Amino acid sequence: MFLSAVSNKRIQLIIAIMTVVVATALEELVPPFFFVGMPFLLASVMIVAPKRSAIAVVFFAVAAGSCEDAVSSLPPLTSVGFFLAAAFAVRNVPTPKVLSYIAYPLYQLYLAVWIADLNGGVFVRTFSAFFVGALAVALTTPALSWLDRKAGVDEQG
Amino acid sequence: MKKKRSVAVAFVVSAAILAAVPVIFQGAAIEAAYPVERAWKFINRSVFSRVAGFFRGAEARAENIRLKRELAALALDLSESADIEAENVRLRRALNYIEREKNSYLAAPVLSRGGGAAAVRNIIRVGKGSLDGVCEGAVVTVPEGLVGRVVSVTLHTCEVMLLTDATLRVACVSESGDGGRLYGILSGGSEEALLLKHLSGRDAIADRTRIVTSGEGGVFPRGLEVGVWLGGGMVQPSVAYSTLEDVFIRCVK
Repeated sequence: MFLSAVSNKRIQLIIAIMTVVVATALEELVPPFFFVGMPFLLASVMIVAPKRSAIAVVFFAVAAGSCEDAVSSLPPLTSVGFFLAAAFAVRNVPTPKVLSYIAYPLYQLYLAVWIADLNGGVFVRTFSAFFVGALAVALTTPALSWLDRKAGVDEQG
Repeated sequence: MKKKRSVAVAFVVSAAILAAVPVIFQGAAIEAAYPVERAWKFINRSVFSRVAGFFRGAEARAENIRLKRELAALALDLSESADIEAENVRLRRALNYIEREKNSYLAAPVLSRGGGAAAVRNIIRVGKGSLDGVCEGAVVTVPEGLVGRVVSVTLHTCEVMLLTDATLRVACVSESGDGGRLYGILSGGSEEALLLKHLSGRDAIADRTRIVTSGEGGVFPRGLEVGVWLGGGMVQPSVAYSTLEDVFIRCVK
């Protein structure tokens, strides 16, 4: 899956960072739908996590979480903690796809624990997060698969 | 085994460093995403707007003529007001009044309205930052009225908290012709209606009375339009926050 075909670790790292940066920019550019934005970063983590090594997943989750905190004006490490927990969970549950789809509503509940006066209220946000999260996963999966195919530099090997 | 462990340690250390970067340099992630956002804005303006303009044809030409006339009228007004301003300064000095602050407005494009997946606050990101002289707390306006306040700044961008956010409080006053005034604190709301709380002064004012900033608290200057009174503590905003394309950041000289 993602980056697996790339033999050079440095290229893997660059592609991972570029993926996070583009996902961050896309999150910013897409306006919120019923108070919640498109979770491209969380979706990428959920897609990458079951198929990569634990160390690479930690790296990816930390990078994605840090960017999420930055663009969402959240206190540092708020999303990092959730993304790491979600990545760990998705690697260890028998149905990772189901967890990928419900991760975003869970994230809204997690945010409600830490942030008072959530914009829109926790129930509306959690409800709309089901649909928005599912859409983000559905959009991100083919994009990352495409990137995987295009970035495969060791096709001969 | 030993090699595997050292690779694991190296990765965990690099992950810790990666996590520390945004904590130490808070704008790093935003600055990294800035070129992508800017590129999208550029494509949007230079390609999509032109295509839209091509299809609008005659309508666009008529709008162009109207805007040129408006510009000429405003230039005439400005030349008159320069004389009045000079006279005002002279008289203030003669009376030993405090001199007014001189403001300049920095035009900035709205880069995004997302605020990330969490979108916990009503914010927009605009394309001017500390390199352009924007500082935290600066007031952001458009010709229609007050937009909000700068809450964080990176090198090339800044985050503007909108009036619709419940955590942004603005002291306001009604602008009524007969002398009666209503005071209140604007405390968030939606695109359709903002909430005016802690009302005092005259409680019955006419519908559609203009509500402006009172200048109390020292954060927002006096007289910036916020909206019109709808009754029952509701104010219809004068700015359409969801369709903002450019804003003006007020920089005090």
